Amino acid sequence: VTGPRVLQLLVYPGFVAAGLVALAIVARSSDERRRRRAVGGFLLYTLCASLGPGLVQRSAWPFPAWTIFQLGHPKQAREMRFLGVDAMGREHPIDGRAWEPFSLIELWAWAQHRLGELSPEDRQAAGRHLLELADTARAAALAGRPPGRFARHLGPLAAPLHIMPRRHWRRAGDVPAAPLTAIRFYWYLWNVEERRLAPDRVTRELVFEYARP
Amino acid sequence: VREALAGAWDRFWFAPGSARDLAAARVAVAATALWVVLSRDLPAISGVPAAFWAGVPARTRWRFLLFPGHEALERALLAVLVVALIGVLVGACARPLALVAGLLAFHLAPLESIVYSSEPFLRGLTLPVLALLPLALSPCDSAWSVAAIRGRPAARPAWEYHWPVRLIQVWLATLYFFSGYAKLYATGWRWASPDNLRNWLLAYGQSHDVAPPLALGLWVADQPALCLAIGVATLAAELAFPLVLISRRARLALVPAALSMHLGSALLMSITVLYLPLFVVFVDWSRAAQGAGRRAAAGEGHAIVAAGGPGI
Repeated sequence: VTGPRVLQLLVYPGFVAAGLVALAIVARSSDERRRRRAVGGFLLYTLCASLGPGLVQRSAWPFPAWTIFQLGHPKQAREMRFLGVDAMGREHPIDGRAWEPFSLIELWAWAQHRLGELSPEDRQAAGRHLLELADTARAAALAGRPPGRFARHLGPLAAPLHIMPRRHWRRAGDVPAAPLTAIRFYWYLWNVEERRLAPDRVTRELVFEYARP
Repeated sequence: VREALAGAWDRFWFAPGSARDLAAARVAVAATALWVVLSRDLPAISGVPAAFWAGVPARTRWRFLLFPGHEALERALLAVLVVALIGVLVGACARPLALVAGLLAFHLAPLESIVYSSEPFLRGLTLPVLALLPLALSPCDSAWSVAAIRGRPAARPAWEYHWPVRLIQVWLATLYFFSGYAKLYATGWRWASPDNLRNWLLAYGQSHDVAPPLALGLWVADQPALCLAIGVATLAAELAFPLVLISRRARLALVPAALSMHLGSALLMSITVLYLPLFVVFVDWSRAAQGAGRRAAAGEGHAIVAAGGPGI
């Protein structure tokens, strides 16, 4: 365990502890200066905790470094895609809502960084679960129900995801009619300038496939 | 120098504040957190197959006390969080409930991203998790609250209403400043080049699964001068944003600039942020209420009703 990791671990408990100490002093003391000094101590800790991660560019959530779109984007683009496959072997795009409770960007990141580290049994278990999610959502969408869970309380007023996925299943005709029997993960690769001229210039590589036995 | 610094510190944090400004912050923080937690299914992540948790380090599990296979427990904690946030929102037992809500939100929020990352920033709960603690430490229920309706709480020194609002303003300022700083740190001034923005816009516009609502992004990508202007304006607004803390004029320019930036990223790239309600901390609610009162006294309110009401 390294120093920064220890700080990362302790920064929020320290924030709460500093707040409770300030609260205790403010509640007990009638001396205005002492009370201000107690709140000032809490503010000083909070300022250090809020500015430090940003300055060294190392997050300690809930004190983030706020690294938002900070990188330069190369001409080569790549995108992880999850496609459903029916018994006839036809591939279908899956609506982003189908993966809920996962959001699509978390699932991309997981597939990109974690899937390869899993044992073959764990990969199969994860694939089985994702196929089940996709097919359950497909059946729901086909029946005219929302395919995901996030809008179950607030409907259209539900908070959007940070990166909004495309709604592939807007109409009943968009939804695969036959049950899904497999899912495939692909890397889609393209050059953004070439594709501006020729939208079909995309290559793809199969990363993972799970087929229902 | 020490005295001057101490004076500046006091003026910044402990100037007289208004109970309404703090109440507006309380309502915005609780409403934002409630909106986000009711728009996700965080406990369900605890119940997904263990394979998804295999890559989550032990230090992350212990840091947030999150372990797989406890969906029922997480659902119970989520129910407590929702009740606590409603209490904060309406100002009933707001201070202790703000502490409870902050701790529970700190525990539950990482579930959204935990299968990959322990840093769920930009998912909507980061600023509420932070802001709920200063609300718990301050008289946030002195106005616009059940507590105030039942019986006016004892008046507190005016500085106690100011510093929590200031702190939320500082957090919003750090968000923008470090977002700009991170671009310079990772990419340098080249980030603002037309080529870079074009690449981002094309990649998002050409995505199969993330679709901008309009084809506007691809059109903007083909305008190098516009791309350069957007890149430079983004960096300038982000790096200058802390000026809102000390200048009313800067606030009038930079707050709308930030809101326009978010509108642009939603339209061009389908990227949203969920902390926008917290921008109410930049509004002087006492002055707004006085202005509304004056307008009502002058009869403008009647004019609006007369103009809008059918048959009147």
